[in-house]
Order: sequence, then structure tokens, then C-alpha cells
Amino acid sequence: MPQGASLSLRELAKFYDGAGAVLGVSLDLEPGKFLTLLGPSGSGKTTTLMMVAGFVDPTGGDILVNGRSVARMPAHKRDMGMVFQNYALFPHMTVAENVGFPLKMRNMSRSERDDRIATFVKMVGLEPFAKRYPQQLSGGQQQRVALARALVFSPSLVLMDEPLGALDRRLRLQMQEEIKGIQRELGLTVIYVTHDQEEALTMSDMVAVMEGGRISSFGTPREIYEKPTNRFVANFIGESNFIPCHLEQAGGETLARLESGARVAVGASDLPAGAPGVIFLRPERLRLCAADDALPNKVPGRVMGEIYLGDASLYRVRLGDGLEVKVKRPNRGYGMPVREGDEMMVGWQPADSIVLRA
Amino acid sequence: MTDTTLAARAASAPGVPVRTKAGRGVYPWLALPAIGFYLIFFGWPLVQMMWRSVFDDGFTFAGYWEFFSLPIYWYVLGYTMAIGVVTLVLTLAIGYPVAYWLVRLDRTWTVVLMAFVLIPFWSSGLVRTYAWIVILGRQGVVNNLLIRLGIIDQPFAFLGTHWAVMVGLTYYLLPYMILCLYSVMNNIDRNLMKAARNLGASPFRAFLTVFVPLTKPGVFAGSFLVFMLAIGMYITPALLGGPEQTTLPLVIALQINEALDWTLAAALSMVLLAFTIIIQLFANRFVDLDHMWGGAR
Repeated sequence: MPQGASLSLRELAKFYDGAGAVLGVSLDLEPGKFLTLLGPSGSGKTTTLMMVAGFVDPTGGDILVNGRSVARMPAHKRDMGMVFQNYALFPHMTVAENVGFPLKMRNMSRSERDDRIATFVKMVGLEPFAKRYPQQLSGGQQQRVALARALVFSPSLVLMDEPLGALDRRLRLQMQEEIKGIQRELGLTVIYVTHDQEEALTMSDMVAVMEGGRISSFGTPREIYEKPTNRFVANFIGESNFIPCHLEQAGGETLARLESGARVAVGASDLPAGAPGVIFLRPERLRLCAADDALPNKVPGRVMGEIYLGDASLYRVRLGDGLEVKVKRPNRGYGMPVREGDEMMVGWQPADSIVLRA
Repeated sequence: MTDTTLAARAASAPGVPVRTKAGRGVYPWLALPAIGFYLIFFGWPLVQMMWRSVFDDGFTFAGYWEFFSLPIYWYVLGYTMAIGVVTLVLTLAIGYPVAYWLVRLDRTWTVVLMAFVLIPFWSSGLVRTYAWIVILGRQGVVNNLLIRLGIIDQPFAFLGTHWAVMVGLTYYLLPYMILCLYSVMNNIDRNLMKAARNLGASPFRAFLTVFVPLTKPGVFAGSFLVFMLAIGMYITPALLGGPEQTTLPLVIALQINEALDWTLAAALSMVLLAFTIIIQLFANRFVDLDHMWGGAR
């Protein structure tokens, strides 16, 4: 039984002096799920979070927690735990006092409070530091205090505003794992704001990609990465290739005519025949191959350069019509050698491509 | 709850700040001009005054003896301290909400209100004190208004009362208090108040449990400053007060200008200085300023 509540946003909007920061955001989140609001700066993700927290008054729409509207409720009655970007730890209180603050505000008895503080300080691994002040802790340790403080009162929702932004990469990966572990363990409903797509993919149950104050795409990380519904999402998350094309209908089969005149088979598409579009392909779904390879779709190209990534290499390949694509190949130590200047075929399975609106 | 290696990982988390000893090599010498200036313009006159308080045609403790043996001087000293405390309390009571609004208001209003604080701060203390004579005098604004409203028949003698001295000092020293409080309040991370409310504190409780404790350094700095300035002030008690509002600086001036008793004047100055230092030390003992500025270091 998850401890977290369900959350629904209904046409939530915020306008500042006529200009919209958030233009009607709607979504439903089940209890115990981890939702990430992902988007570039200015996409409205932080404003949305602040409206849920109660720090920004919505201009329109509604916020439902377990089916009850909280849109008009003051922030301190919403019972949500928030982890701020800069942690916002109280500098005049020790770690234990920081963690105990929400319990004190709820007038919990001293002994009960101490028990809970001990449990949560232990959970984030800060027992030896309970009597220290925040300034005496490292960034990662401060982050843990903020986390414990936001969870200690069993909030209905946990809100996180780019909480790992200030940490170095190693620590960030470690904290991602820990936050995810605690969230699963306690069944927390988490709303997480970030502009880091990798973080969004690895941590979330659901991702809402935001663009210009709207949700551009909403789905599981796998759906968002593998089946993007528009060019913005495809471009914002991961590496992508876009090959311009026109759709053609030929004997019940959909074909795409490239600008070079070549025709390739594509998977399903919502676009009407004749409409201009782009074939979307992830670099790791493209293959460098010989002309006699069995792949249904093949286009000739010339290898222009290699970016060595360690576990894989990213090749820039110029196709016949001058368009460059990126092809990612794991460095397994065997297979066809590839050198700069080689003339090769770039091939792919039709099912791995999606035709999106240009 | 989670795996036990968490504790070990947290303990070894990198980035615990390490303080390094700075200022080796040539840098300390750069302080030399400042130290020289300080010694010549502050240190030397002080030594002179100290010397003057015990030397007048040979060593003498007559000045100190006169101070310690006559109750009138003790009364004046007590009155001076009382004036300092009351001024401190009044400036704090008025300055705290004003500084709070200065921090809370949006940019343009902060600039406008700050001008109201700073313009008197930059203008001559003498002029500002004379302004109070115009306001509080027998034919002054307040008396005229009260008579016209029919509240009083005869002009009220505001000048020459404790009340007038208090008003004058509070008005004069208020900007010092506001600036001290403002600089500290302005540096408080606004997210802290948000965090407090998010964690269940009503706005009032968040103010009391988070904001007020964090303003302590400003409160103490402002209070020290105002208190020190108030007990050393000459113009305001001289112009707005009467014989009953005699403070230690007035007595010192009297000794120099009229009694020409430089030894007593120097001795009284040393007593005032000693009290200032004692109070400072006393306050430092009970208020660990270092601790409040940056947590326990």
C-alpha cells in the first residue's frame, strides 16, 4: 500500500501580466509513482511545481490530491514535502533540528519526535552528523538532510526542484539511486523537476516533457524515448536523426521518398500521404553495413568522422544528398572495421523508424 | 530501511570544506598603511587623553577621585546608560518592521523607501536636531496643531524633557539600526521561509522560528552601534534637553569649555570609554557573534 497520494492537475495555468508561464497543464498520477517534469528553462516546469506546492497562485485550473482540491489551500496546510534546489536548510539549526522541524510544527510530542528523527537521519546515513550544522556538511550530505526533512512527516506528495543540480556527476548518480530506492521502499508519490533528460529516464515511472508552458508529451520513459510523438520531444531527449521525406502510398504499403529520390519502408504513421515529414531514427538503431546486407532499408553514405565514447563510437555519416546522420556502434572489438572516408551503407529496420511532422 | 552501506557512503562523501591558512608571504605587509593611519589618528590621541587624565603638573588621580566620590557623576552616568538602552529599544522596535518591509517590497519601492532612510542619514546631525526644535518648540508645529484642534490651551513645553531627548536620539539613530537590520535580512535566503511554510509552519510561526533567529546578528550589531552612539551623543541632549537631561558627554564638554578642567574631562572620557568596552565585552560573551554568522565553525 503506497504511502503517497494520487495527484491530478486540471488545466492548471499561470499568467503573469498577460504573459503565460503555464498554459493549461493536465495530468493524472497514480499513488506511489515517480513523475518527472522535464523541459528546458522557461518551459513552465518549476512554475507548475510551485503551484502544486502552494507558493504560486494558479490563474486557472485545479490541483487535486487524492481527489480533493488543494488549489486554494495555504502552503503550510498542504502536507507536501519539498526538496529545494539549494536545499534551503535552516542554518541556525542542527541536522536533527532541521529534520525535526516539520514534526515540531505538527506539535508532535518530544519523544515521538526524537524517534522519527533518529529513524530518518539513519535512513539517509547521517547518524554521525546529527548534531552538526548545515555549513559543516558537504553538498551531498546537505542534500540528504533536505531529503530526510521532506520525508520525515510522511507527506502526501514529495516535491523536488532540481535537487541534484549542484552535485558532481558521481554523487548525482549515487543520489539518484538512493532517492529512487527510498521512493520505492516507502511508496512515495514524487514530483521531480529537472532539465537533465538522463535523470528523467533513469528515475521516473512517468515523464511529462514540457515546452512553452504545455505538456508536449506524457508517458513512461520508454515510450518517451522510443516512441516520441513530436519532433521537440524526439530532439530534447537523447540523440536523434531526422531525415526529411514525403510519404507515398504504394499497394497498401507506406513508403517514404527521401530527397535523394530513394524510397524506404517505414512503420506506421499518422501523417497523410504526400505530406512532408521527417524520418526519426535513434543513432543506436542505425547500422553501418555492406551493400549486400539483409536489412530492408539501406542508404549509401560516406564516413566523415568518429567520436570515441569508450563503450561505443558515434560515426558521422554523410548520405548521398549531403545530409549527415549519426550512427552509434558498441565497441565490441569485432565486426566490420570502419575508417574515416569509407563508403558504406547505413541501414535500419522499418519498425525502428517513426515518421514525424516536419 | 535502506542498505547499511549508506551510512558509510555518507561519511565518506567528498567535499567537506577545509579551511586553509591564507595571507602568507607579502600580503600582511599591505595592511601597514592602514595600521599606520590607525595608530597616528586614533591610537595617539587616545594615549594623549589617557595621559592627560592622570597628569597635571605631576601625577594625579584627582579627576578619577572627583568622579568616584561625587554621586552626581554616578547619576549622570546612570542617566546616560538609561538613555542608551531606551534609544536602543525604540530604534529596534521601529527599525525592525521598517527593515522587514524594505526587504519584502519589490525593487522600486525598496529604492524609494531606502531614500527616505538614507537622505536624513546623509544630512547634518545639527540641522536634523534643530528641525526637532522647530517641531517641538513653544511656537512649534505640534503645539500649534494641538492648540488649533482645541486639545490644549497653553503651549506644552516639550523641549527640555526626557521625552524630547528620546525622540531626537531615536530619530537620529534610526537609520543606523535600519541599515544594520536591512543588510542582514536582505541576505537571508528567501527559500528558507518557503521551506518553513512547506514543512507546516504558518507564516507567523515561520517568521518566529526561522526569520527572527536568523536576524539576530543584525539585531545585535544594530543594538551595539545605536547604544554606543547614543551614550556618546552631544548635540541632541544639548539642544533638546534641559538641565535634567545632562549626559556624560555634556559634562565632559562643560569641563573643557567652561570649567577648563582638562584633567576631569579626560578622566570622565576614560570612564565613558571603559564602560563602552565593558559592555562590549559583556555582550560578546553572551552573544557568540561568530557562531551566529556562520553556524559553529
